[in-house]
Formats: sequence, structure tokens, C-alpha cells
Amino acid sequence: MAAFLRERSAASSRSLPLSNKHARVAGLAVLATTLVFSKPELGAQDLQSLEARMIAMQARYESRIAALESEVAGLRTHPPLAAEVELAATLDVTAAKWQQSGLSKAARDARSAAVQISVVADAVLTASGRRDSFETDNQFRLRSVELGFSGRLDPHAKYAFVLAAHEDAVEIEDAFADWDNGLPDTFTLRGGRMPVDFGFAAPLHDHELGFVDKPYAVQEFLGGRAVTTGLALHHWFGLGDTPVRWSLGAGNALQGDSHAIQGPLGGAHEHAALVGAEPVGERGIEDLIWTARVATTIDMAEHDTLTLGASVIHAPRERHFWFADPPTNTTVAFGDTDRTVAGMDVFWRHRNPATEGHLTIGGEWLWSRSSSVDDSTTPPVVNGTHQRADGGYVMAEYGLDTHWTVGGRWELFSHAEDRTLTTEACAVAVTWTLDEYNRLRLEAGLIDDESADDAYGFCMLQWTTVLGSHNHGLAW
Amino acid sequence: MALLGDTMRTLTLCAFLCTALHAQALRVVATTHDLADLAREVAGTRIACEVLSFGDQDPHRVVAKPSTLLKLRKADALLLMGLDLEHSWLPPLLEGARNEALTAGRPGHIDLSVGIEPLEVPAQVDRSRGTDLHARGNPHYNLDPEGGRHMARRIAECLGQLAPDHKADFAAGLRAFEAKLDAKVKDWEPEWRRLKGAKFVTRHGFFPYLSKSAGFDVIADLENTPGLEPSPAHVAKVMQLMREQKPAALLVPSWKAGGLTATVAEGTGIPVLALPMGSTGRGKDATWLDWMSHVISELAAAVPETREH
Repeated sequence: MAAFLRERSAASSRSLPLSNKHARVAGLAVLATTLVFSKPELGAQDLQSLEARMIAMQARYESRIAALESEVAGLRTHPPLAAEVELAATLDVTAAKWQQSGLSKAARDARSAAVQISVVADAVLTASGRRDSFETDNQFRLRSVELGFSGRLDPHAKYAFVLAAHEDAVEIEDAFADWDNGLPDTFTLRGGRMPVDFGFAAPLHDHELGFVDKPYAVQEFLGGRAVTTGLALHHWFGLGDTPVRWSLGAGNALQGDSHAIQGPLGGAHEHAALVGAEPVGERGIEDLIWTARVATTIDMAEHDTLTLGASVIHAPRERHFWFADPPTNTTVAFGDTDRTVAGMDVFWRHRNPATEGHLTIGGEWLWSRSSSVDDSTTPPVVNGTHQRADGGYVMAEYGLDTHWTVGGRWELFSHAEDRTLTTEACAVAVTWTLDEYNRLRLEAGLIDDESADDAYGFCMLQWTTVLGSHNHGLAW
Repeated sequence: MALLGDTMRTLTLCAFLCTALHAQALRVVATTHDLADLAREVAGTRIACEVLSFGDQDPHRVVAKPSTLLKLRKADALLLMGLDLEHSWLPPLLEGARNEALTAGRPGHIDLSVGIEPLEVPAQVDRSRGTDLHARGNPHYNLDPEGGRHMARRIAECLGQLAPDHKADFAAGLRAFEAKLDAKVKDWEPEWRRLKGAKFVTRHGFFPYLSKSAGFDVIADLENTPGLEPSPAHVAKVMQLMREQKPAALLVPSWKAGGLTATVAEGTGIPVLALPMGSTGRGKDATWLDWMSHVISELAAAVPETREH
């Protein structure tokens, strides 16, 4: 029995592999049949999808490998300078943060985080036939020494800080940040103490001008360099092939920051709030000033551009106070006025690459509208009517090469407070840029100022020195 | 009327197809006309290329225009010479354009200097040397036949990564360009022989790559630091050297032909050879190959016949 069992077992063990093979073949056949006949389309789609994914993955990885190979080749052929390596090492934390922000390698480049530091000194020797010239002319004047810092705060924002020292004061000219990469498209939000985006000449520092002084019409209507503390939203876009930019801003008050030698504000460091609320009483949203600008630059030819711009500043409420004489010494609010200044600017610029020269012709016209104050009474009264005034300038500047520039400017404007009084002025300037650090300018002109009942000639010699990195960006 | 309708429909269809084809082209911005020309050689109509500067203007100091922002904003790729050639004007424009595809490290940011072995790399860079425009080495490798070959190859390689579907077309374009270049190099052999061992003085270091290839000597440069006006002492020294060694010509970029150049030429009796430092899209310098031919022939013509080997 035992032998039979063993034999049977052996027979079984011999026959089992054969039956297993049959079973496997049968199983596979059933499975294949099921696969083939049950969902044949899905299988083909899956295969195609997998192949497409493989191809895409291959392309992706090949592209990344090629980029890395390029980077390695670049490092082999021109390795980074030792100073940059050192700087990059010190900025590891920043780099890691920038990486987290999802920005590209360029944004994480250590050089982007470097601080640009500049010093600009501006001195003027003046001579004039002005009747009241003791305080202002026929003397040497150190107009300003500016210390500027600019750079990136972080991946999303950059900053500019300009501290200016004058003969009698030190002040913060600019202290603002631009939040750019954090906003979509080409929007930029600027906040802080900043130049008002109005026209061509108003936002510029004195040393950026083609003449010694800001145009006199700009001095008269905006108080010189227009500055405010607030927020402004900037954006640019393409209208076809033409770039257009616009901005909207709100600020506490419009401050005219002027260090003019000649003109309506000439002779004194003017830093008064011309439009806006006095710091007395309750402030409301109507005490803010509002600014807007739209501008475009059209390419007329390869080296010719035409810039057109329109700007407006509106102050809905300008509070007026009257300070009573002793013994009361009280402050009396006698009324509110409003004020609007609008302007248009047109500039044609031609560059001549063959000589590295240029020709710029253009001008600005400004309109001012403000409530009238009758100060013949005590206290004065706001009489409900509006005073209108307008004026502007045209200028031409011809750069012979990178060293020599000649320019002329003619101006005419009525006075903001009394439009019956006008000022007419003209000036010619020759600028010699000795090298990248030093510039000399000789300017002569005539002013016929009805408000001062004076007409005189003047001559100025200006020396400007710029040290360090200094970038003013695009003017449009 | 029906005929007019059909014509209108056909024209509309053609316009639509043209627009569609144009829309498919890679939008490329090139910082110099040389790069744009080589890109067109390689990619033909597969790209729509905008140019930011031409060979008759200083590539270090290109005046930016607002329209440049728009070009960069719309572009799929940026071709630049690199080695800091554009460092004074391109970075603010790239920042303003806010086109992430063009930032360094992305495939759209195509630095043609990658793979170049730069010449004249300063051992030390600091403020005492002033604003040295060539802090990473001389970036004027475009003025050399092999530099052009390198640029074309790199353009084909990088555009191929951006548009893999057209990789074969770019490779074909590159082959055709290299064939043209090889033929030109053969044509330039007599000039090459004439230039070998010749002496020149330059104003700004545009010529080190060509002088290495052609075997001529630049015995002095009027600029003691690239990009800065030379000091009077340096000018006097160079003038003395010119009087002694009688170089074939004073080689200057076309925008520096007057002023100091004229004074030095007058004081030494050495002729001035003012040339564009890149192709311009016009006349003798229409393309990069035309411009190379122009420069090489002018240089060879300046060498006295008695000097020919």
C-alpha cells in the first residue's frame, strides 16, 4: 500500500508539471483574449499616452542637462570673480529665500543684491544784475551734496534713498521702495517719500538737468522738484508696438523742493508745502493730493523717439490759516481752497551713434487753477473765485559728442497768484563733460520778471561731480 | 461679385495663415546686429528677430528706449554677447521688462560667450582701475571668424533647446552657414598672409581675437583702461611708440574717428582706419560675413606691400 502510494505520488509528481503548464498557457490565453477583446482602444491610448509622456520627460531632462552643461562650460571658461564668489557666499541666506520665492537664478544672482552708492556734489558760481542780489547772486554757492543708495530690498522690491546736504540743512530728498516683482504684469507700487510723476523736469534732481536751474514755470507752479510722501501705482503696456505707461498716486502734500539759483524760487532753499494741509486740525481723505500721468514714447526712426505726456495734480482741499498778532497769537482757520495743476510735455530725441551726439527738442506747458484768497482784509478771506495761470518752456539741446553739449531755453509764464504779471526768460548753456566724474557748465541768460519789477542778465558757472554708481533709468 | 467674394476669402485665408505662421516663429531679441544676423542664418524664418544695437554704435553704451522694454517683454529668447559687454544698459531693461523667460539661467537667456575662452582677463578688478568695461575678459569675440562660428553653433544649440521641433532645421541652417564661412575663410587667405606680423595700434580693445587668429600685433592701445578716456601721459607714450615702430594704421571704431584719434594721427603721421565694430544691416557691413570681409580687406589694404610675406 505504501509502495502504491509512493508510486502514485511519483506518477502524480510527474504529471503535475504538465498540467500546470497547460493551466498557465490556458490562463495566459484567457488573459490575452480578455485584454485584446475587452478594451482594445484603451490599451492603445494608454500606450500612446505613455510614449508621449516619455518623450516629454526626455525633452525636459535633455533641456535641463543641456542647461547644466552650458552652465558648467561657462564656469570653466570664465569663472566668477573672487569678489563675487565671496559676496555670493555671504548671501546664501538671501539666495535661499529668493529660491523659495520661485524666481529664477538671475533674480538670485548675488550681484542683484549689491548696494549702489553714489555721491553727487553741485556747486555754482553766480553773477547777475539783479537789484536785490546780496543774498542770492555774485557769490559761490554749494548747492547740494547728495548721498544716494539704491538696490534691491528683496526679490520683490527695490529701494532708493537720497540724503542731501545743503549749505543750511540736511534733508531726505528721496526714500522710497518699489514693489515690482510681487505684482502681476508690469505693475509697480511705489511708496515713501518720492518724486511726483509729473511731466519731464519736475521729478528730476537738479544735477540731472540740462541747465543749472529747473524751468522757471515748473518752479512757479510746482515749487521746483515736486515731492510727496505717499503711494503711487505705475504700469506700462504695449499698444501695438508702442509702449504706454500710466501712474496714479496719492500723497500727503505736494512739496516743492527747490535749490534754484535764478527764477521765481531762486536764491533760497525753498522747501515749503505749496499744496496740502497745514498740520493743524483734523485730517480727512480730502486733504490728500492726487496725481496722475500718462505717457508714450513713439519710435519715429531707429535713433529718433517722440515722447508725449500729460500729467495732473489735484488737491481737493487746501486749508488756510491766519496767525493773529500778539497778544492773542491764535491760529484762525479762515477757509479752504482747492488747486489743480495740469501739464503736457512733448520731447523729440535724436541720437547720432556715429558721433555719440544727440539732439533733443521739446517743452512743457502747465496750467494752474486755484481758489483765490483776498489777503487785503484781516483775517484774509477765500473769495470763491478761481485764479488761473499758465506757462511753460521750450528747449533744445545738441550734444556734439560725449563731451560737449550746447542748449537753449525760452520761457514764458503768468504768475499763479496774479495772472496779469508775467515772466519771460531765456538762457543758453554750454556743458563740458570732462570725464565720467566731472562736468562744467556755463550758462548765461536774461530774465524779465514783472512780479519783481526787475529785468536783468545773469551768468553762472556750475561744477558737478558724480562718484559711484548712479542710474536715472528711462525718461518717459 | 462672386469672384470678388472668393478673392476676399482667399486673401483673408492667406492673411490668417501668414499671421499663424508668424505667430509660430520664436520671438528673439538680439543685443547686437551680429547676433541677429547669425540667428537668421541659422534659423531663417523660424525666428522673428529684433535688434537693439548696430555695429556703428558703441555696444557698451546703447541708449535704451521704452520700446526696447516692449520688445524684451514679448520675446521668447534673448541673444547677448555676455562677458559684461551689455552690463551698463541691459540689466535695468531686463528688470523693467519683467519677462521671466529671459532671466539668466533660463533657456531663453542665451549668453553667447559661454564656451568662449576669453582673452585679456584682468588679474585684479577694483575701483583703482576705474570703470573697467572688460572685467571678465574681452567681450569682442565677434570680430573673429572663429568667434562667428562659435556664435552660430551656440545659437543653433540653444534655439534647438527652445524649439525642439525645429532642431533639425537649425542644424541644417548651421551647416549651410559654416559652409559659407569656410568658403570665405579660404577667400581671405591672401589677406591673412599679408596681415601676419603686421603692427597696429588700436583705440579700445576690439581686436585681440582677430589679431590672435590672423597673427598681427597690436603694439599699443590708446586707452589705458577699457572704456575710459586715456590720460595725457599714456597718449604721449603711445604716440612716441607709434613714431618709433610705424604701425600700419591706428584702428578705431567708427564713432571715435574724430577728436583725440585725429590729433594722434596728425601728430604721428600714422593713418586712421575707422571701422564699424559689428555688422550694421547696410552696405558693406550688411551681414556679419560682409562686415568680416570688409574689416579684413581694409586691414590688409592698410599694410604696406613691402611688408607682405
